[in-house]
Amino acid sequence: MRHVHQNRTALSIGLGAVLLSAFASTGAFANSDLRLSGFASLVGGTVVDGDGYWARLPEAAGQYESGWDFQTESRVGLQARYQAADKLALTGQVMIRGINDFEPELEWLYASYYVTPDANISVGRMRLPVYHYSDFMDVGIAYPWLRVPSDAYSLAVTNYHGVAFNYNWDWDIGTTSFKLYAGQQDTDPNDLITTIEQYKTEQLYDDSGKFRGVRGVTTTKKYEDMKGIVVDTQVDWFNLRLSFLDGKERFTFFAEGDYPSTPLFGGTWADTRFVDVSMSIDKGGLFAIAEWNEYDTIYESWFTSVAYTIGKWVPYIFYSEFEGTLRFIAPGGITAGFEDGVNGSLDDSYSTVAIGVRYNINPRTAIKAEFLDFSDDGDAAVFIDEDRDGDTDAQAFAVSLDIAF
Amino acid sequence: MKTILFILLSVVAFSAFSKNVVIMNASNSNAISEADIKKIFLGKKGAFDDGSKVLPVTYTEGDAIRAAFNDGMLGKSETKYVAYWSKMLFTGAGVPPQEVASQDEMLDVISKNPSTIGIIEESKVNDSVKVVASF
Repeated sequence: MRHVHQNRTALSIGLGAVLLSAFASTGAFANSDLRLSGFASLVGGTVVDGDGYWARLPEAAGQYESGWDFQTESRVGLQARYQAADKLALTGQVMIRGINDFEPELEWLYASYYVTPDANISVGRMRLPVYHYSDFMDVGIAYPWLRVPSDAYSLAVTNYHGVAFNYNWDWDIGTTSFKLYAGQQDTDPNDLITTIEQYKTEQLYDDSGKFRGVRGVTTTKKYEDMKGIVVDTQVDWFNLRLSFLDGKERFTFFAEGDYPSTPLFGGTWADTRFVDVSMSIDKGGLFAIAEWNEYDTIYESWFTSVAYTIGKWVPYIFYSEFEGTLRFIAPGGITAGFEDGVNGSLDDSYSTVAIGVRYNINPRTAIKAEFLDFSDDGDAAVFIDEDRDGDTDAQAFAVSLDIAF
Repeated sequence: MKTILFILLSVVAFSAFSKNVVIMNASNSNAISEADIKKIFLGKKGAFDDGSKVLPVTYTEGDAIRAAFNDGMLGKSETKYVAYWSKMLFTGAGVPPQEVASQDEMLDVISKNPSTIGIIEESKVNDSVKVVASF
């Protein structure tokens, strides 16, 4: 495994170097065949109140314990699109993330064949397009918030290997884009679920009762036979997006020291069914959105937000909510033991209210600031739980600098 | 001082009264509506009615005609335009319109390539292109 990982890293670094040197040598963003572009977000956050705040982002990014952290969510993305032939294009994206110690990793690499100017088939490694913001949640300049409201973006798989068919249908007053996709992905280990499990049941305390870390459990999840559809309709200032994913998944849990040889539990295949609906309006200075999703038998989550542009300022507010279906942990947290898994109270139930503002320095550069209030109403801890009662309420503040180039 | 004021006034007067238009190659016989133009420049429509590929052309950031077009026809400020195309580009949903630096270059590109559609001041229009909308 390690060997494979090293090769992948080497490939990514190589690609990153090629992209960077291409930037340096051409000094331009595009010639007729090759288009290079990129984006960056420098994000810093701190906890205002509570034991810590975790935005529960993919790869377990977005953890804030104490003081200011400028690494966990910061990122740079470099994208190259090469028009190899009249109807054939190759797209590659390298992400350099703080959560991965700024080591370049290959995020996407896919080839697109254009059957017509409005229909193409793409093959390779791509973003799993389940959410409204899936494809560009790393691109801070493209949305008003400091980060996409993360309570409603909890799926533990972000990319997949497979095929997608895209078709733009122009119907008089509006357009509808259809995406049909199929593929698979092996998340081994799955950093997001592993970290969720660690804070839920594996927190460690020293003799004086102070939090000292988490047990090194590991989880993996394999997704196969994924088949999905996205129907995205735009009529002037109104957008409606419907997304459905069907497939199967295999979750495996390993106790500390047992990964990857001896699983503690899991290992059986289950159905994956995920549905997401979003509706948004973008009219004059007003932007409003509501997005809801359901991960069958696992959770339901949603968020809504309003942002208003006044000159260079874009103040915003959002509310987001997550409700898991599990009911094992007793009220009072893991130290209180377990309860009836059918009639007990919810393990994972939390919500966030946030206010923030984006200031556009120029069209390609923005700074943002956000204050959020996270309420944990479930029995399980979401993040660091000093008093071991399963209640991990927090208030956090973050700032960012977002750039597109 | 008076001269400067006069020049400034004439510039203001000129830009206030100059009309901008959307142009295509003179040989392109496809019908096109304002809604089509909007979709084409936002990457939602990739072909003319006859099925041939359409290539939108605009100016580099900061250009006044581009700003007037984005604001008037597309309903997007420069900031929203950049955010929109960042989204489209990084989702692989499309690439932004090709950019040229001057009206002469625009005229040159449109007059040579029947697939293109562009924007220009009405006073610059010649026989090699045809006007399909104004803004």
